[in-house]
Amino acid sequence: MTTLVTPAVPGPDQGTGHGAPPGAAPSLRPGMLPGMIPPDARAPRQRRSWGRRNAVWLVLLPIAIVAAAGASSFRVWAYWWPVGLHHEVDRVAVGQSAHLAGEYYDAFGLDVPERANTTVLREVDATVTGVEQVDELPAPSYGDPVPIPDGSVAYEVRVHFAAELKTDLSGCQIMLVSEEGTRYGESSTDVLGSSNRCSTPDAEGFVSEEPEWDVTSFVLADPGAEITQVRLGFGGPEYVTFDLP
Amino acid sequence: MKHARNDGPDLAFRLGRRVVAAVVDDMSTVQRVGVGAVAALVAVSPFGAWSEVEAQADPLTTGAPVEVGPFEVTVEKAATADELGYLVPEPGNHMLAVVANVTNTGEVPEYSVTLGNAIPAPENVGIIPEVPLAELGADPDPDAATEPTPDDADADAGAGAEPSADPSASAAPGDQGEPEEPKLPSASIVNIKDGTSISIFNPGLTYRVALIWEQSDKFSGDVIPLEMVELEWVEDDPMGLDDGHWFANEVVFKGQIKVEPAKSDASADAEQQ
Amino acid sequence: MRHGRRRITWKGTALVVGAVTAGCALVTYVPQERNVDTPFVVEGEVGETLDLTYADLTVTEVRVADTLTSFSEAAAAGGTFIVVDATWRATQGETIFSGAEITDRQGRRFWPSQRGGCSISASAQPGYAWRTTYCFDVPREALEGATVRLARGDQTEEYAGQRRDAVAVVDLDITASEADELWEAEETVSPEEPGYAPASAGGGEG
Repeated sequence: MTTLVTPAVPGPDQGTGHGAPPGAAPSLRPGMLPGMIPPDARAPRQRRSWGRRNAVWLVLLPIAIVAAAGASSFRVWAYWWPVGLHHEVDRVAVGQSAHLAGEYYDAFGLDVPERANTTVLREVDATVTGVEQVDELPAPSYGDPVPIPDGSVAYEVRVHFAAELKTDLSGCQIMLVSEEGTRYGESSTDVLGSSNRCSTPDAEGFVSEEPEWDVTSFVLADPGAEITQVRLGFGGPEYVTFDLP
Repeated sequence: MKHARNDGPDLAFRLGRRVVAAVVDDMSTVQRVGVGAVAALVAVSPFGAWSEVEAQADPLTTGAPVEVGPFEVTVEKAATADELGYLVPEPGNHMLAVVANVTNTGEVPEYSVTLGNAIPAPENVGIIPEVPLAELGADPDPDAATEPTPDDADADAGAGAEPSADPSASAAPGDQGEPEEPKLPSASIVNIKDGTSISIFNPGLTYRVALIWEQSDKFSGDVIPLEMVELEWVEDDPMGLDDGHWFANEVVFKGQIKVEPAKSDASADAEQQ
Repeated sequence: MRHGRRRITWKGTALVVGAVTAGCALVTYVPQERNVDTPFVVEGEVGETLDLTYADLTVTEVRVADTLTSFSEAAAAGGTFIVVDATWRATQGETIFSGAEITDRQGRRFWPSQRGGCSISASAQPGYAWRTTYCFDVPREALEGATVRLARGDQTEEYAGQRRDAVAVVDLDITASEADELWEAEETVSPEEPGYAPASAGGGEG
């Protein structure tokens, strides 16, 4: 049968009965009456302050918050960081050589079958040899000539590349960045319709065929925009910056 | 002095416990389980546990408008044709079209895919099933020599979907062991007035559309069974991924629709009518 | 050390029930998401250039048509087509503008159609003005007082893609009498393919 009533047995804090059940209650010292505080009893120690008691945990708290925020920032790592140029790996002036290195996953090995299903390191040395405004766009490889649209100006960007043979150049972006941060020419398809911007016009595929080569790409920009940088990337997150004088 | 232990809620709890103990204490485990089950059944009764699951469908007739989710649909007729605009069947098949007037009676646009979910392909009338994705690309693997090519799959499975079905027709020797029936495709939904494919229905607009499936020539009946499935609005998806969508639940309308025979100028007629 | 079980008291019960009720009420009646997620609406007229931070948008022309013809097909309206020509000028980087919707006086929403050669979205970069044509099949009652809503984010799932982002809402200026006239008229429009905007559209800033 379940007991529903707590039986009445004396607990450890029961009563001041002195002398009666053996070992049940502390006996009084000689010369003392009930209720007196023994002269050598120390005043009860104040507990240490809340801050001191919790000091270690207080120090760990901001670290824990940062770790928790970091752990739940998966979406930043997965969705924002890889798409877009977020990691500057080199920064040089126009005329100097910059080294752009970044990894990508080659799923199918279309150009180089040995690379299928592997993570490949793409390394390219690039030098911007010229950035200047032009009055006319050359005829594209395919399609009709493209006039410079009203309300736009066109820049010609010349870049010299050096890389190992069969370096994958797809998704190349050559952009001009204004002082305000506006990114012109961000698309991997340029104004002439070429989606292979870092290859020479007669290139057959998206991989490099020579150890060194020169490329010219055209970018439309706002009139009056002050171009301060050229940026080169392959879709992100790594990119290199060339500062204009 | 009133002690908390003698207060109302605590007292009620204790009495309850006492009653349960009195009933249950002298029982064996088996008996306790039995009592527990009976108590559970009694407990769910006020919450509609015993209501009959409704499984009947209302009749579907041509000319009578029916409401399915955000759509009001009036089936006009069914017809067959050798080809309809850009939809060209494989040899040995023809196109089956169900002509209906569809109105979006809601306040927001709806996808034509939602309508397609509400009006599934008629069964057992030789509708050519979907080709599974695995078979779509030609597989150069020598082990797949016994697998059917997409053309064969159509004819095989077309035969399998007929009323006099050969039960093993859908499982070709090289298959990955698919015991279930081949899946029938959703209709292609085409605006009859101009032959364009419709992807959204804006609110307040009525379109005369054709729901088109590819049908085997082996089917020679003159009625097809057409069903319409109820669309339920799911505001909060339990998995949290699909909030706010129309879910095709159970069949609510069912009827036999007469099929007009194919005319030689079927495609021109279908666009004119 | 405590012996036995925790007591169930009136006070304890009241606290628990009260806390649960208060929590439910808070979540139900305080409109949290609405305040945090509202888009920034920029209102304007046809012909006006609106600054959406990520782009400058100008709705250049509004036409009404019963038929749309393009290179590959002709489309007939279920109601009538509202044809909206707009010019986008991106100001930050390469941007896709996915939001396009017409709202009528009653609050009904209408999405664009690709039939007849029209666009349902646009894509542009800074440095040039890009012209796009959107076509919306709408019923007669939607014409009067219709507004078009264009933005970078898309409008599905209750404008989820436009949270805390700028959107443009342009009044198409169709009055009641105009609506009747436009509905009766039988017009055919051939929408132009998306392309660079002609002169004086959008303007160029540095």
